Amino acid sequence: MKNEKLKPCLKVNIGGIGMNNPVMTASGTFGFGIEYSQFIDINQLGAIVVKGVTLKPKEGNPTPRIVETPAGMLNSIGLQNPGVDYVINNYVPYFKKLKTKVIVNISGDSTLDYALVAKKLTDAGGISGIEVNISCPNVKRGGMAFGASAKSAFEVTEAVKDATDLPVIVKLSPNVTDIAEIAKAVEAAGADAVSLINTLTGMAIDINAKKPVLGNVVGGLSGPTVKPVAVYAVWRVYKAVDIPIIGMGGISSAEDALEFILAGARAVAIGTANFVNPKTAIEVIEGIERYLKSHEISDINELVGKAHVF
Amino acid sequence: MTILEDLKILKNEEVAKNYMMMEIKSENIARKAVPGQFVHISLNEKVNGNKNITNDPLLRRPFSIHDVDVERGIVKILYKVVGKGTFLLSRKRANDVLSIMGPLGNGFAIKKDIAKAAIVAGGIGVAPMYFLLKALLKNGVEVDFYLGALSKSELLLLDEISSLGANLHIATDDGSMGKKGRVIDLLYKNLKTVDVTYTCGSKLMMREVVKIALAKGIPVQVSMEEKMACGIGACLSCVCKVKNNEHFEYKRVCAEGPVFDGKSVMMV
Repeated sequence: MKNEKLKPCLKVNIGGIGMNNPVMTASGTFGFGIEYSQFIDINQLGAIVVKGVTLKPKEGNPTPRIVETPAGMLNSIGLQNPGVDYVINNYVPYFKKLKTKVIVNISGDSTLDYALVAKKLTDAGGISGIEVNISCPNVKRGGMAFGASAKSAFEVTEAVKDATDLPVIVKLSPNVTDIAEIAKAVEAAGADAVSLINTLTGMAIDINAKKPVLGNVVGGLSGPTVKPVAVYAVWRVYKAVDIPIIGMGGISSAEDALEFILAGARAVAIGTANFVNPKTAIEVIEGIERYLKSHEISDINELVGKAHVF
Repeated sequence: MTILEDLKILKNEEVAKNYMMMEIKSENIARKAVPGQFVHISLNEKVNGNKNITNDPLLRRPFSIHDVDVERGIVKILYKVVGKGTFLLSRKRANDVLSIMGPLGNGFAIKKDIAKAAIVAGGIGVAPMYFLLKALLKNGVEVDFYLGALSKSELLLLDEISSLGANLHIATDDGSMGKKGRVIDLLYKNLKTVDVTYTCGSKLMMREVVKIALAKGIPVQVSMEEKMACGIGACLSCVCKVKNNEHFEYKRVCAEGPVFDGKSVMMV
């Protein structure tokens, strides 16, 4: 340790959401936060992004919903959730007691659905931002369909922006020809930040049953196995937009998180790793702080996109 | 509060071909656990002793608690070696350390006023039923224990179950021990009027057990299994269908289960 006394600044601002540090949790991997409060102090996290919420309750997909892959997993949960009204009545009171920033991920079958959910959550209070999921590969309607074209991504972003005065983050899919083009479209529509990547579409086949393993046939690949793809997506999008990027995809250590930050992410989110080690996010915060000290960097923001030397 | 700790293995030995018995040191889990609950074990190795891990196999594996020794602070896991996770686990030795979360889930309900119970276990499904049997006998319950397996070599815990004082009924598919055939046929012929039936095994077997018990008006509790990720109710991976009026809803095996009421859980 070269400078023991250096106390680096970890504060970041993501499109108007001021966070004490750049480490968040990824939607769908952290429940509504309360599930993990038995293992970690949630208030130490920069922000939590809670499970995707829709206008009406969603039953979710048939089982099996997951299958493990080398250093990763495929999931096809299908956005099972109790609906926005239930979330407002049962979880928002808990969110209001938290010191950490709470961001709610939203999905819909139509542009109007997205806007209505955003409006209801905004009126309920207690949350700091909305993450717009236009990248879920596991639902037939909505989800990834909105994120697959620049035009529909623009429209849904604009509709949510009109429905709320909270910061709006748009979560992007890697399952597109050019993620940078979609990022530019949502930036033009007023998005305050982008988060990337959602899962990569994939499947597994049971050779004895001679049919797909997942009940939904296809699923989304996540975990350490997707990290290089995710880092490259952040790298590309950083060159394309000026709004902050939340980087995610296979982060399980501070070293992983730092790769994303150097590629251009101002914040990072821990996803699948929460299942493996519920303390990952806390360990990533501690590891980033140690790195900044040993590299004598006083402010995390100095590191954002620093690898773009070419 | 669920425990999440690095715990030491005291013993990990083969008890029959492909079946292992592992003992883990944990006063806290031993004290808190009830029959039917499980622990969630990571097979990841720590890299160079720091916090980073190998990440493969990635996910934790759920194992039902086979038995506890509260005085000595020991948790026992009986498991079958079937895939990558259990293969790697079978290679662990005494003094190796595993990251373990638990006890998790809701166990079997043991009502105060029951006098007689039946337990129906198939194959490795016997693992949690031993812990349940001990608890029932401690409460003065008379237990008929139906145990089925493919063959004699896969019938586990015969002496242990008998010596505890349960009435043992055995069936093997190949007839190498006990009644030749399925344990459910044995159950169909022999199930007496008991206050409750408990079952753990394949879905195919448990579905039949539920039918037989309910036809006689006996409540039945089933221990469900699904592919699991978080183990604590956050990811919604390990769901099963539970009847809700005319429809159904998905309930989490890790959080609302693994033990469900046989009347409402749908084993499709």
